[in-house]
Amino acid sequence: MASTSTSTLSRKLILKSSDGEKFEVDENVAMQSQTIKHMIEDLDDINSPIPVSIVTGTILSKVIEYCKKHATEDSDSDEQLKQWDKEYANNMDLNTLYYLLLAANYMEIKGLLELITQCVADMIKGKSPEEIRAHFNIKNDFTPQEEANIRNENPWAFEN
Amino acid sequence: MDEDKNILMKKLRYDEINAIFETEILSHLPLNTLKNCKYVSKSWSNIIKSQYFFRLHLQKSVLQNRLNLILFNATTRIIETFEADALLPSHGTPKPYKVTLDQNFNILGSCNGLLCFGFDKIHHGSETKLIVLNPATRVWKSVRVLPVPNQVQNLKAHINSRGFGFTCDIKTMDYKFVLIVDREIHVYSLKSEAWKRIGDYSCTFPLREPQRNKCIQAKGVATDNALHWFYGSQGRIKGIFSLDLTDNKQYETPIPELYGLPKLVPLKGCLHVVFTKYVTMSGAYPANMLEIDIWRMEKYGGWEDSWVRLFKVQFDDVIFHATAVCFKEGGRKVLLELHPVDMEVLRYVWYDLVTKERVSEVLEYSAKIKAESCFESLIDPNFLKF
Repeated sequence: MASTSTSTLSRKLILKSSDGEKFEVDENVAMQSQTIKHMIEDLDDINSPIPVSIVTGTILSKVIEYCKKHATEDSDSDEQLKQWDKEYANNMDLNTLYYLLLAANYMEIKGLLELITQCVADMIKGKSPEEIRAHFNIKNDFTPQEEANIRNENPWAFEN
Repeated sequence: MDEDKNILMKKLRYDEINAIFETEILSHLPLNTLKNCKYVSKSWSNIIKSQYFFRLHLQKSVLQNRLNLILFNATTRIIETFEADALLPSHGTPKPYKVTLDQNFNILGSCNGLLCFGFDKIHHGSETKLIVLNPATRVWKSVRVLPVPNQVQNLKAHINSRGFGFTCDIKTMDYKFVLIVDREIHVYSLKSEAWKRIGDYSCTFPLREPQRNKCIQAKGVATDNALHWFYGSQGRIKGIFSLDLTDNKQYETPIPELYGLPKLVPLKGCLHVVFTKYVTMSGAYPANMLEIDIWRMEKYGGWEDSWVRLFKVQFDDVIFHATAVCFKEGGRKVLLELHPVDMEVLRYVWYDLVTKERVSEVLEYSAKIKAESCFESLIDPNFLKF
């Protein structure tokens, strides 16, 4: 069937978020997601919206922003792209990062998953165990005895 | 198909999400941070202790090119570990460390963050020992190596090629020590703890170490699943002999005819040859400078289509002989070992190949040490059999 898009080079797809928001994107942008790639292969009608079931519109727009940048990488050098990635991730709060993590995992976008896990990992750097627990809201489930033991077992035996 | 597959968005707590991704997140971290992470919670502690995590962490280390510079003094048997990137003592291992080694042990190879030590002269019929050490965690294992099986002496062996190397067969995760002696190639598997003769050395020329005229035992450099040595004749390096350990095939790849001191340096699973040459430019403004020529091996075979030249750079502020140790940033920066004329010290310094500038402080060290670059890893030498 005739596409609504004027461009014949790149087909347009419509992604639909969990809260019903619709996004029209170029096929090569959407194909960054392995999940969508597989969905398209099974789809008869390319013009019907593709549901991205667990991702909200707010998050999906951020995912699309990432995919767009990485679909047209020819204009930027590796270094520029890395810089862009860094700024992209640094602009998110932790809550958004977590939702992006879930989205990247569900949509199977390896690069985004790698980027966000790296960004969360960077938050751990330079923090004491107490600070890490406070930052990530993790409960200390060691008994004082267990904590003493684990400090003694020291698998990296180079502290003496 | 207009049914909206809207799944109720449950408000996820951070720790719930963490549980799904924490292994992935933690694998990005360097060892000094992971030390603290062990005390955070039981779940983090268990993740960081697992062999699965060790391997995932290694993958990230390789991907991010997280290298340590190991400086080893064979006489005092003291090892010092520096973060190659910053040329500062590695946070995880701040103090020099004396390794439990026999006299005259040398570094025979480096692979996946493990160093293999042993005698660099191993003959038929004698039992020997290897020490496999993770310099980052300082966990080590002594491996008793049975005598290399005695074969019928090959009387035609007029080329006395000798070489050794240490690598890991990624398919089977088997760490292997390779010995080339009297044209026979023997592989010692640390998994099966046995030697296997995998064929005869097929190259026309003997293995060589650059700058040495006499045949000595040549040390192989490991890339993904393969070991590489120089071969040549009468001190002239002619090419690279490669042994692929997945199929035990041998390859000869001639190197471009260039003057200078060649060095094998792996980067991202590819073998690179770095030629360093100290040149004197005559003319109106005579000057001494260091010339660096870097080539990447794309495939085995003939030199016309095997090699890609990445850089040819002259540094006019380097007035010493130098060799390359390792790369970072995709090969844009190279760590050089400089050899001042007085021979008392060695200097390590990063150079940017694009801007041709020095991009780090200089680390100066006694010339009695040998340098080796080694990935930062948690791989435990005691679990190499699994």
